[in-house]
Formats: sequence, structure tokens, C-alpha cells
Amino acid sequence: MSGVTRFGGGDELVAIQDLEPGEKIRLRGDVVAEVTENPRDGMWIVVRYLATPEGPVAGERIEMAGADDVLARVEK
Amino acid sequence: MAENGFDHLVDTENGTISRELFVSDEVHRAEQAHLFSRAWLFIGHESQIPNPGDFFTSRMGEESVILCRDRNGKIHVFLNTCRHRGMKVCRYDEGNTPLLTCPYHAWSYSLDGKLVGVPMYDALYEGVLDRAQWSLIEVPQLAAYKGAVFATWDPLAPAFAEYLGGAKEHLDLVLDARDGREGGSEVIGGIQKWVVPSNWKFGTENFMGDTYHNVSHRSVDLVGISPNARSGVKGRRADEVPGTQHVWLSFPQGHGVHSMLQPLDNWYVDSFRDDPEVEAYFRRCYEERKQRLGPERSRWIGLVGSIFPNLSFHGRQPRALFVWHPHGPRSMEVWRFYLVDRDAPERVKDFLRHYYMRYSGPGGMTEQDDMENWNYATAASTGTIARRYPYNYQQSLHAGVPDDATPGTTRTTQINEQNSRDFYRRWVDYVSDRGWNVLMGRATP
Repeated sequence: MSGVTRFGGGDELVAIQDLEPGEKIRLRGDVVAEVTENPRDGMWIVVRYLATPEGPVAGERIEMAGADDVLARVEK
Repeated sequence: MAENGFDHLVDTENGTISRELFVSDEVHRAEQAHLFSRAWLFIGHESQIPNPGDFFTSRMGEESVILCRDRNGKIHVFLNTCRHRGMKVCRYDEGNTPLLTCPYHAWSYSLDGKLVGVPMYDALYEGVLDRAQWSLIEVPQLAAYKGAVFATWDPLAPAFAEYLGGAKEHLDLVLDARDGREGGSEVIGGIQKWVVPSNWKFGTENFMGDTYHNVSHRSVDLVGISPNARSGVKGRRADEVPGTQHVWLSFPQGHGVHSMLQPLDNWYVDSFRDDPEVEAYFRRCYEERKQRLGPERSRWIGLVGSIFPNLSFHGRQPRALFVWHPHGPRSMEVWRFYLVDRDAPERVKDFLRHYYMRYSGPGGMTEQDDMENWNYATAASTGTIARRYPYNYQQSLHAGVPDDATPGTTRTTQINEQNSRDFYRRWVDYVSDRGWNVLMGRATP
């Protein structure tokens, strides 16, 4: 259960309602993901996992990511 | 009171009902525990949630519920409370959403009730929280009948058709299109909601056939509320075919209706003289209904009725469903759903919308009369001395006769309080937590 004591959004405070589909983000747990859907409720986005600490993600893994799980945008 | 049960509060043989039914906290708690947790309750209308993702927040007793349509088009009713800390997961009256997200900690549910989003799930809950076990709480039984959605919290409650019993034919007079097609109605406009400082049972009773209170609406007729008024016909009921028989029916399940049986040789009496286009529409509907239903069935015209416990209806114009939600023992929240034929011309719908507002609802002329009666009846019944004296329900005490068409049903053809007496007799069975055989009239307590 690492990374659960740090709050405040990590490197920057991301207003997730502004994220656009296609943007890459870093999630809690050292996950890199791509936004696929954003209902713009400020609570949740839908993402596709691209990489985890174990390496690149094979196949398609779609997850919901909550606002507190989103740590930062990934530089383009 | 509880140690003596509730039977002594209702004396239908002699026609007295204790005022405790309308003011007591203890009675109110018993209703929540044994009546609203078991009876079939009206939730909303399918036309309010036509598309996947649509939702409408409603109530069952004093508890908030969500009526919604999932992405596969299936209708659900959920308790509006998060399984984590109980916060409402939906705080809007209606709308469309892919997710119901709790504002407190953001646990989120899809519209089929599944818990699909738990923030920081991997880090905080992995291997512990089984999301499949923490879905929204769903009613065990739901029925959509001609667009009207009903639900019960009791998995052992009889099927809705049996619960409705013989009252079905009269509820049909509200839900069916004016030309006799089954269903075909939609809710027009928003739902009127307002709080009245009165016990909810005043509403149910008033609309199950209390024709005696017409005197309190006399000013409305004198002013001219009807859609014939500008043409010189002011009375709300000046459009009855001569020879029409008024019939009051009380059903063993606790429902009561007041409908009209027209003579076999009947005809359309002008009802909307103030607008020829609207008049033409209803005239055409009347004739088509006669053709569709045949001469016998089409004789019936619905006036008012109440489906146990807290749904009432207006069968003619202003055609509406209304719900009397308990709001504590001495207060209720009234919800009114107005109905029109889905495929009626816009001009007809708009005309009716204005008529409905003029007639019903918090700003409507008849409703203001009713509210004033119920408000002051409740206020004047709350005091220590007043509560010692029961209400009188002796009107037409022995006038009802068994109805041949529907076993267990009482039929009365004069103004009466039979429907109310039978309603309260069934009410006491519910709050006394009696079984379904008794509640459906299949057995006596």
C-alpha cells in the first residue's frame, strides 16, 4: 500500500474535468495511462493503462481513475 | 398505545376513526415500519426516463430512491444512499448520467447499481473489498404498468397485478390514451412538489371518493374554472351525460375509486368549448374509444381514486397521478404528475397544461381549497383535548352492497364514506404487521 499517505495531487493539482481524451497522465502507483473518456464530473475519468511498474501493459486494460488517483499530466 | 395495538383506533362497524391516526408519532413510526416497507408504491412514469442513463429521484415512504434506466434499457429502483457512509448518491431531481457518484468519498455506481468506482482501490482495498457485494440497494420487486412504475421492499408481497386487483380497470381509465388505446400517456412538464402541514392520509382519503366535500369547491365553480367557462358553462361537472350513474367501489386490497357509468346510449358532451381545436380532438377520441372498447366497456369514465396506500388519480381532466409522501406525522410532501396523450397535438397539450395549473397543484384553485381544509383539520386535531374525540365516518354506513363483478368489493351508488372506512380497516392490518392473506382480503385477522 505505497503512496497512500501523500495527498494534494502529487506533482501538480490536476483539474481532471479539463483532461481531454488522448492526454497521458500519471496515476498513483506509478501507472501511466491515457484518458479515453471524461464525463467532466470532476470525480472520475476513464483511462487506458499504458505502463505499470512491471512494464508496458499488453493488451487493453480500461479502468476508471478517481480525481485523487491522478497525480500529473505526462509531458508530451 | 402500542401495548394495546392499533385496532381500537379504527371502528368501521360504528364509523369512528381516532384522531391519533393523523397526528401521532407512534402511528407514524408503525406506518414506516410495516406499511411503507411492504406495500407496492408508485415511483414514477416511464416517460420520465426514456433513454439509457436517465434518472428521476423519487421516494418510498420517507426514503429517497432513484428510478433509472441502465445502459441496456432496463429500469431499476435503488435506495438513494451510498453503501460506504450513506450519503445520497444522487442529489438532482432528474437528469442523465453514466454514473451515480457519491459526493462524500466518490464511491461510484453504474446505473445497474454495481459499485464500479472506489477511489484508490488498488492501494487501500485490494483483496479486502468485494465490490460485487456492495452494490446499491435495489427493490426486490418492480412493476411497470402502462408506463407507471411501482415497487415494493417486500420480496414476499404478491405480484403487482394481484395487489391492484379490481382497481385495475379504473386505473386504466387514467393511464390509457383518451381514444382507448392501452397506455400511450406521458408526463407533461415537471413534477409539482410541495409540502402541506397535514397527515398524508387526508390526501388518499379525499381522492378515493369523498364527494361530500364538493361544497368547499363551490367558489371554484362559481368563478368558472372549467374549459367551458368562457362559453358560459361554469360547473366542473356540467358535461355529464344525463342518466349517468356515479359508482363508488372499495376493493379488498384497500383501494377505492369513484367512477361514472354512463347510460348505454351515450354521446360526447362538449367539454372544451373555449377552444374548438381542443374540443375536436376530444370529440374524436371519445368516438374512437367507443369503437375500440365497445359499447359496454366504454360506458365507464374515471373520476377519482386512490391505490393503497398513497397514490391517487384524477381520471378525467385534469388527468393526473398524485402521491402523498409522508413527511412526519403532521406533514406531507405532495407530488403531482400530469398526464397527456403522448401523440396529442402540441396545441392540445399546451391547452391542458394551462388548465391543469389553473385547477390543480399548489397554485391551482381546487387544491388551495383542499390544502386549507387539511391544514386546519390537522392543526385542530393535534391538541390534548381534541385527540380524545374521534372523527365521524358514519355517512351511508350500511349503503354499500357486494359488487357482483369483483369478489370482495363493495359497491355504493350514493355519496358515502364506505371507501374511507374500508381503507382504514386495511390500514390497521398493515400497521399491525398482519400477513398478506389478510392484506389482500383473502382472510380475516
